[in-house]
Amino acid sequence: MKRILHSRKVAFMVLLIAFALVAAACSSDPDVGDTTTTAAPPADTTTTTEAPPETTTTTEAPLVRPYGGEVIVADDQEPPTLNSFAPGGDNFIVSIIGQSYWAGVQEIDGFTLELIPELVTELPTVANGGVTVNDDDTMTVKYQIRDDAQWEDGTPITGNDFQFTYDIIMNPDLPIVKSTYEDIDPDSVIVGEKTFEYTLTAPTVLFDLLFGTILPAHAIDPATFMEDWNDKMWPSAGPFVFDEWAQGEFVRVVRNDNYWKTDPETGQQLPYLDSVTFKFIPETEAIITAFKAREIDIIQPPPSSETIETLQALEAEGARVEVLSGPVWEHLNFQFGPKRFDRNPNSCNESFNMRAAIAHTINKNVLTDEILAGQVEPLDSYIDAFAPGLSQQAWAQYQPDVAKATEFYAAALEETGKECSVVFSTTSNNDARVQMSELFVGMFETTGIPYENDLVDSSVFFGEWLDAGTWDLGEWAWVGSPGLSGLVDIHDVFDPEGPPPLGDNIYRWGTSELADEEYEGDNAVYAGTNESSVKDAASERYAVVRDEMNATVDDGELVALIQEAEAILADNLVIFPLYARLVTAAVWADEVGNFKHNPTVASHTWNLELWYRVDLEG
Amino acid sequence: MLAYIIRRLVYGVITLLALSMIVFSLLQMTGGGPLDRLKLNPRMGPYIDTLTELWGLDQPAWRQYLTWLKNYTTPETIALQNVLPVIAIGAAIGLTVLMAKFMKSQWQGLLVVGVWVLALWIAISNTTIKFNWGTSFSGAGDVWNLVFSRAGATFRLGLTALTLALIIGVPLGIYQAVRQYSFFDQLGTVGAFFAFSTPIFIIGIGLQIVLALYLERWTGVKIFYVTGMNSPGYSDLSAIGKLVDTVQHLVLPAVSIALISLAGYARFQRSSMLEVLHSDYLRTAKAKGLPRRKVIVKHALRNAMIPVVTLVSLDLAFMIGGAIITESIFGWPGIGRLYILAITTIDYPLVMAIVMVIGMGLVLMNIIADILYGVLDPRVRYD
Repeated sequence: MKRILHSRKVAFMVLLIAFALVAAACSSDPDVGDTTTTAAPPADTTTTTEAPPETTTTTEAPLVRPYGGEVIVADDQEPPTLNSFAPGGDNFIVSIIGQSYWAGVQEIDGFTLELIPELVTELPTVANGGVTVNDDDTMTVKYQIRDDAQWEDGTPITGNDFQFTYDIIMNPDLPIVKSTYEDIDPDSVIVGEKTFEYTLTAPTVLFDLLFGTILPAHAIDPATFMEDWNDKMWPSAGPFVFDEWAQGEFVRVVRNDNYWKTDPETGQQLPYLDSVTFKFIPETEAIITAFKAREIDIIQPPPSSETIETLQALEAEGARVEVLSGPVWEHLNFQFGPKRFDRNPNSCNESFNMRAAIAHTINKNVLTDEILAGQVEPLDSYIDAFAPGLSQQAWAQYQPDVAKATEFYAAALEETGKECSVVFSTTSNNDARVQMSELFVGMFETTGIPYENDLVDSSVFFGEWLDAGTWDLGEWAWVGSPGLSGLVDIHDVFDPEGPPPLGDNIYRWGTSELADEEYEGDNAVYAGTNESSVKDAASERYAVVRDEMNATVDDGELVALIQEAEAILADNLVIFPLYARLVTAAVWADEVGNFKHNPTVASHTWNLELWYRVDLEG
Repeated sequence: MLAYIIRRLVYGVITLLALSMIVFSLLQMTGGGPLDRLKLNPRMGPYIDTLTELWGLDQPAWRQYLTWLKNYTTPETIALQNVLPVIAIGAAIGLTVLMAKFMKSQWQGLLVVGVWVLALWIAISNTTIKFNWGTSFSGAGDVWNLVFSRAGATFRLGLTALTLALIIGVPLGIYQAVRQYSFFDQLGTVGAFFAFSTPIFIIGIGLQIVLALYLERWTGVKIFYVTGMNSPGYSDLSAIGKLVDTVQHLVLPAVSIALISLAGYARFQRSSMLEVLHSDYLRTAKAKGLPRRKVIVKHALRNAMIPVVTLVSLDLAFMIGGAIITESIFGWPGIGRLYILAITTIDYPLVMAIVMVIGMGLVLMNIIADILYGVLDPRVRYD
């Protein structure tokens, strides 16, 4: 879920061809041409011939992209490392740059926002035989590596590289996130020239994000793997090759002449550009000024309404601005453990009536209008941040309604016998959240529910309060990711059987106090925090659904389970999704072609091998 | 003189020790830790445990501090094979001993300190001496390498800005004092207050918009760059091309820092100069019929420089720490930006290293300033 995918590059093949053809039919894109009567396949050699008027046969001029040139991309953050396996390698910017030289099993399509194969011929599924659930309740996954996949030095990418990657990750001496890799039975790994096969100890859909980056076995010394990564980059498997990292300034990558992919639209060898430079400029104002001065070709600034307006004003000069809903989704949440009373003695989160009163008090449209300048619709389900097509919009039942809120609040008072009130906590160093807290004051005044803000710096909020469950009504964000594995993963954080420190259910919905030995040492902070005030049939059913979800790899079954879980969380108001944060990108479209922003973690560099300099066109 | 320098160095070490304790304690008390951002990620538990152990975060705070202090002050490598820097250090020590015997003036004291600083810098930049300042918690690698990889950029910007500020600010202050209440004096005063009271980010962004963005639109020629220290293709440029590229990138950030500093220097220089100009000894010099230029340059300026020296020494130390805002606005790859990154990621080793570098700079610059007082005013004694 929050894991950054180590995938990169392009949406190729059928979807892109389809898109290109649709685009050709629907627009007057000068690249495609607008005078043809019969469209030939893009890669065909074509000539336009004069024929008798009644029998005109016109063939489209071949679509040819120019090679050469450089594109400069700006970001406000510099990667602490370029090694995605090292501490700090999970930073967003690491994968943004890494997409130029990494390759792995999967990548994210910028059009469908789904996972598509990269180094393998197809993503393994039960249907295509790539995934097999065995009789002993284990699961075998088999990858078929593309024949043409190779490293920049011409060495073919083989099963040995997959094996080497697995060994590096599982090396106990290296501080690398192991997570699902630990579920692979080491004795089950079978390495072929162009195949790699392993068996997981139990069926799980989480395999779909494994092997997102493959390491070159022939070029890395495991002994120095963690030391030399910032000075010596391993051979590239992507469209570009690492060239230079001027610390504090830029990372530059240059064309990989041995890249194996071709543009499905033109049939040309990729990439088109000679180089891409990633410049690091911390100040948004400076990024925009540099963009205006055309020192930068592509930017992805924080999407404030002022920034968006400034950028949109440049569209007349040749810029193109994309504003999309991103993968980061903000949500209101309730603490159900006993420590919430430290923050608010009159907390009534155990009462559904109170939670419903709060839900009907919140006007999400006001939030998106004020905070996001009305650029996106509010979220009625967290599923939208993962796979919009699966969402049932389960929270649409809680519309802003003063009468209902008042009614539910009265019922809560009667049910609990307390002077129920709300203490709202979130991070004080996030402007949007501070603005949100100010907007809440007015909303709660309208419904007459006693309300106060208790905001704190993010280091304390995330570092202390969340672990200890010392908040009443909270707000923060999770990050969505494409693929069903991300959706399965997010449901862990509501698992009634997973209270901290054993699990991640920091909401303490449906959880029980653990045995004393679980709270030894550093875990002492969790002692006495896990006895949930809400343990009912719904939370019990959710635990079952979550377990089934984690043991299922059939897509159809998974979707049904995900939707049931969504309904449980919505009907019981465990959380209240608010909105997805915007993502913005701007490009000088009169200089750079084929740019398309991707609102997932793949972001704006997902298809950089397809970028080309428009100003070099004949 | 030597005894004075040694005494000041001992005080400096005690100051730095106290500084390190205070900053380390503050970092411990801020709440949260470097691994907090991982805690919201399910399945990170074992990874967090690994890093906690690897970085020693499971140790009590006092032990973490002592470990840091030991590593910080113990040379990790002394590469004797790098002959030249070793000779430089040897020469510095020899020269110091030799000069201490015959040291009779503050100029010599200044020279000794200068040679030491130069030798130390050569040794560091050649990694003849390298201390184990730990590994960055944000994943950015070896802290020693990280800090000194940025130091060059900070020095380049800081020294350029300081030079600009001095060569404009000091003469400006002198001229204003000599022409007190003239139109130029009034104009200089208004300009200084304007520069002084304008936040540096306004000056920086303003310079970017006017001199980089619009100047290019008006002239059609790229004269200054908005951000960065060099162009991406810098290494492929000719020597002249590199020089031009460097100047094109350096001017705007240097000017934005210099504007504020020079306003301060001009004000201090003016008021100090006015005080000296009205003193008895200067009246005597004038009465003796000395030329005006000689009176001002030889007799007045020397004494009037003392407050400015104090200001410059402090400025220089802060510039070592990096002009944080300017570096951020102009995407300058200096220590200041690194410092911000270290604080936001609660990167203890990096924060400590940068704070100590700034602290050392302050101590050193104060010593140099104290010696300079003696150079400027022979009445100052160090015994």
